[in-house]
Amino acid sequence: MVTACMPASVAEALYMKKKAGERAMFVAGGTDIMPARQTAPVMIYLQGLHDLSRVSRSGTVLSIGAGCSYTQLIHDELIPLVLREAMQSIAAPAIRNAGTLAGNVCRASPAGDTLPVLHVLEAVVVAGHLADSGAIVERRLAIEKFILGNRRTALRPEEMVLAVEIPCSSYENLTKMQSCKVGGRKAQAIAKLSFAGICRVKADVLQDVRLAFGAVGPAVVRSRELEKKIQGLTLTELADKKNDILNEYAALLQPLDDQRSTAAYRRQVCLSLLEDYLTL
Amino acid sequence: MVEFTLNGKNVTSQQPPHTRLLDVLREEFGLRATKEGCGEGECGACSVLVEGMLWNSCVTPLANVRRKSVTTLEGFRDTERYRLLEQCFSEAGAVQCGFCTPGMIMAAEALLSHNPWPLEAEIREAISGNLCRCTGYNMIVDAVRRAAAKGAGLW
Repeated sequence: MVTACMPASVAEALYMKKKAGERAMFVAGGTDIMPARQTAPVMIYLQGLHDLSRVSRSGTVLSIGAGCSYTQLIHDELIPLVLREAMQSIAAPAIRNAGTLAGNVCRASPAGDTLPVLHVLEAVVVAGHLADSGAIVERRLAIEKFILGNRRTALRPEEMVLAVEIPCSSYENLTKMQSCKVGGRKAQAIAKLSFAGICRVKADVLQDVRLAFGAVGPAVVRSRELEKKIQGLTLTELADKKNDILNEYAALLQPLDDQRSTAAYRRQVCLSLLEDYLTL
Repeated sequence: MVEFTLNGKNVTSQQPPHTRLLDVLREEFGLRATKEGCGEGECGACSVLVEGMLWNSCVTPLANVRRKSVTTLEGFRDTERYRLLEQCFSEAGAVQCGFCTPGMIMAAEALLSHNPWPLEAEIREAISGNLCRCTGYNMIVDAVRRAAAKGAGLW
């Protein structure tokens, strides 16, 4: 027996989740849970919550409501271009019209198309729950703290994702930004692997660099440690050290053989994309 | 029970909210133009319009169309736009087995209603979620292009 809830407000949705805990599942676009025929004793449908469909920029933070569809975001000029490009590579129009960015985050697939980009944009997931007083209490987690592994997140049983926030400083004045998905075909493919890179070069020195790889491990691979080693290099030094950097990244990638690709292919293409990206 | 607008009429489905919209359309309302191909949102045979946007009805829970407007091919068939698309699909040889055709027509309508003068790349993008195993797509792209050219003012 499945109980369906169609709350009229975010507070009502959180109240239902608080009551049902792990027995409840949220549904936004439904494009991932429906093919898997997943159900839970309590299904909470978020489609009617217009409060969750807003994009806003206040001060230095861009906030993307959890109900925003990919199509909505692709057409919103407030959204950083590199993220819009990554969303444009997802599935096909009909899926993008229904599927949501927050859904992609919550489903925590190792091959999630927006995840490498969200990592390099230093996205923060806003989770909320209803306090006994009736107030909505928010908790903010960096994306790498939110996604713990294959289909695993740090979301608590009483919580729901309300928004994904991106600090504007993460995408302003960039020298080079890239998001790349490699799949069996252009549309409707699940990624064999994906890559995202962002960097800022000033006076021939790499001021800031952020690099992330998808589908080559249980969660996105990003190393702040290695990025620190690259930051501060001049472009000449970067060219000299490129092979060492590639070797260090090679050691971090843990790709698997599966029905979509092989570990060897995934590793090789990731490193080739990185090499190309670091050719500045 | 879920209320929505189906082809212009207010209806109430008696099915549970997690039922696939596809099943509600075909089984409860007898609208069989909407086809089930892959059943996982990859082939587009089940494409319908929700609030004028293309959706895959096989991955849409009924709950998600509550108080929204759903249009299937049956609700589109009596329009000038449909008649032109039908004529252009026929002229271009864009229909062979016909299984993908209702979805292709809905995808073409979704495109042209937002973009009456599409570039070829935009046509290909618009039907990129609709698989056709017969035509090789070129005839379908041609059909949509003909409809756009002949349909000045219709969209």
